[in-house]
Amino acid sequence: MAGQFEAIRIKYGKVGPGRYISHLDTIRAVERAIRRMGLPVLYSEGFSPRPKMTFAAALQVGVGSVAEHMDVLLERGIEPADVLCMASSAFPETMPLIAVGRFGGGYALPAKIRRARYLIKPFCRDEAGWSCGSLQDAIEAFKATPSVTVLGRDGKEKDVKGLVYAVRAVDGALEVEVACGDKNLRPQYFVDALSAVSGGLYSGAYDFCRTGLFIDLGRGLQDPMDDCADTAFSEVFRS
Amino acid sequence: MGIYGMKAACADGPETIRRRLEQRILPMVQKPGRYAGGELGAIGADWDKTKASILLAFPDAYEVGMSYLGFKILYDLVNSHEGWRAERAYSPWPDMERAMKNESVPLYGLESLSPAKRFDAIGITLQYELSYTNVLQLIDLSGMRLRSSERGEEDPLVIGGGSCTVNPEPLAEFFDAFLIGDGEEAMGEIMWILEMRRSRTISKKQALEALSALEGFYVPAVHDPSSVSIRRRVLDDLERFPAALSNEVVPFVECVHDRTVVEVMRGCERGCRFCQAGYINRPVRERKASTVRAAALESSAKCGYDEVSLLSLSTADYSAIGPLVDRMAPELAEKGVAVSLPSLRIDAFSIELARKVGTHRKTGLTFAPEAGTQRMRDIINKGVTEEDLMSAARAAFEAGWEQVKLYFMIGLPFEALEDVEGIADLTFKVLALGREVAAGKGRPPSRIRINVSVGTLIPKPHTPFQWLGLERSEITEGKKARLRGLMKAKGITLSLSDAFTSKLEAVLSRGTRTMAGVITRAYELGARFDGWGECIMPGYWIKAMEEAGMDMDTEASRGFARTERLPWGHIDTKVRTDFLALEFEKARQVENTGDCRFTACNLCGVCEGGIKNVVRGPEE
Ligand code: SF4
Repeated sequence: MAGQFEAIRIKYGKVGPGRYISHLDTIRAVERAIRRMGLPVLYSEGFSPRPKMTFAAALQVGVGSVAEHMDVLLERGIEPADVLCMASSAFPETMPLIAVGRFGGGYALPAKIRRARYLIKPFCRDEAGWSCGSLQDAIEAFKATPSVTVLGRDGKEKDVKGLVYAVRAVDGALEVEVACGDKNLRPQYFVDALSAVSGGLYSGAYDFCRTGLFIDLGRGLQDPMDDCADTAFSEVFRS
Repeated sequence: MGIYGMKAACADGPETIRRRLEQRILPMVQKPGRYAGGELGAIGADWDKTKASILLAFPDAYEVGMSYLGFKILYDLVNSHEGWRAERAYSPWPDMERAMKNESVPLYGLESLSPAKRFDAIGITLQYELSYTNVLQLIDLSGMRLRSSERGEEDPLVIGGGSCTVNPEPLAEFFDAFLIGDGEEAMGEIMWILEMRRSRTISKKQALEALSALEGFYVPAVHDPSSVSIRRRVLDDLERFPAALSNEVVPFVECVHDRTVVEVMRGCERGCRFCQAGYINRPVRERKASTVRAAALESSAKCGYDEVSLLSLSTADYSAIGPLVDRMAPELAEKGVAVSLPSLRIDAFSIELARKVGTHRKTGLTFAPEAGTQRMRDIINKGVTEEDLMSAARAAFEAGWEQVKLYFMIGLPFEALEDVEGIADLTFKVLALGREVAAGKGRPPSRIRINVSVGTLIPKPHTPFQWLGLERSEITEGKKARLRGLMKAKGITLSLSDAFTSKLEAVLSRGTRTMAGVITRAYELGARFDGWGECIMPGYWIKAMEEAGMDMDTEASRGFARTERLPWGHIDTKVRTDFLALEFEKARQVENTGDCRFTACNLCGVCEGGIKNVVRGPEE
């Protein structure tokens, strides 16, 4: 990249109705938020200049998140803490900013994404077929099955087993780490697979939330914010 | 009786609705973001201290409704007042309607997910006739009876507004009241009455009587259309209300227009004889250029859109447009925001404006000569000559545009085949000009494209053509065939309006109260989103008309004698009927009428009692 620039990495969430914002709508919403903040972003050339931003990994419509990431190129340096301050009213409540850090550059964020973590629970816990005991059984059954595939929404067979790296039951919910990046597994497919091997889990809709995203820079998996300096965290999400 | 009847009326509160949406509905429907709320700038969900509430319901998809300025203005006006609450609702797409019905979720406000029946009133805007079945859908999904007379004391008032109210009769049975004309002042009056209604100070009947006494309100239960005269409400000065909105919702879902909109003026007096908007929004009332500029800067900074649109029926006619754009465009460009001008005239001045603001690069330029020959343009009083068009097109091609859209109409009164053929002539001339200019500049002439769109005149109420019916479709179809034959050429794309849609629009806009049964029946059969090419189902309407003993063609082409009382005769837009009749005579004589901003007053009747043209000119 030519010329002088500074980059920041932003971590944000999609909460409440925010989960229904599609990836393209998210990009537009962030562009607007950036304009509202008056952040000195670099713009692309051409008839309709766009702010130079890179999003880590698209999130499916309907899935909430507290682990969305993007890199933004700025004309000049700005303290991450100041960015957080500027963003407080510019980002909608349903898309809250969680952390901002200075990013040294050198790679494109989406190319380094390897894994995503999701927390999955039924919207309605009291429905039949969902209990901690049965969850554990289902997980064991999944682990014991050498290969599990499901039929995707596009009608194609999807390998699930090979794309699931970790799974456990936490407080009546499922926590799963799956491939994200060049290989991808929708959390819904994981649930479908789990349901298939365990003979039915729960028939209602699930509440999916992405709780972590991991990059690989050759030093093992890490949180994208760990590759930043001067990171400032939002009060609300400090926990 | 609505299809869902009382089933959806169960007194479910916001929590139940939220649960059903999250668990059962939103995971299953297309574009759930339309139904979830939570947009930036939306008011909170807290109903404490609410003294009066209204659900602003738009009878079309979210993407269309969210782009409508009128509701943005009213939303801001109501919510800026302490104790008043306005929420938003839009027609659910058919998949969502089905899901709501299956899960017994009624129409709800997006802000608090409160059921429609919690509100003191439902305000439905009537912007185009092809949304009428969606109007019924909104009332029905609210869990109420469709007909006003069958609804109960505790049901919210259903109030209609918007341009279609100038002929309210086809919908009169469904509404408790209509507001005809500008909404700013009237909205406040409605809310005061709703306050009394909510505190049970007055009964529903008293509320309707109170409304019926106010200027601009038509209350079918109180007024007798055969004798009453309802005067349109006219706001004398736009500056009495702020241009910059303090409560503006910025959607996540991509909408028809994602941009800041600032209204620069209301009304247009060019006097095109086919144009209903030109007659029912008189007189011209301009905002101050300084207000427009401040609002554009403030709103775009607050909402974060990359475009500001300066809205009016004819923005190039705004008296301060040149200096305003010169000043605003660079200021906004610095912030990455472009200016757009939605309605340009056919002249070099407009092209110069378009060139300055640059936003039209992406979309191409649209010119609307409306008719193919000078005689025809004089008949419709479109004050544009062939030279105007050619010089504007030349300016556009020279400035580098390669795509131009031309808009014409057929089915005009006194139209001959040669007038229709004139459309093709003009198109070929523009194409040849474009190629010549391109060649002269060393650019490939084959890149020049002319998109021609030909609509059919629907003779709308309150225009000089209101006494005419729609041209018989056999005749119009013949003209279309001629155009198709003439315009098969490289570089030209022709699109023609659909015959059925034109008939339906004519029937609905010119109809009487007997249309209520037809609309209800079409709705019951499944008609929805009739303005959407992929949704309209002519079969439903034809069946509904047949059952009512009506023939679509006959109804659509029904004309009225000059002496007859028109179905919309009780609505007084302040434009005198003899003025309209005179305009029709002048059309017959192929005579023009000037614009009263630049020539003498034409005695249309609008200006009186403090209402007059407000033309401010450039400031300083
Ligand atoms: S009354 Fe005269 S000045 Fe006023 S709008 Fe009509 S023609 Fe124009």
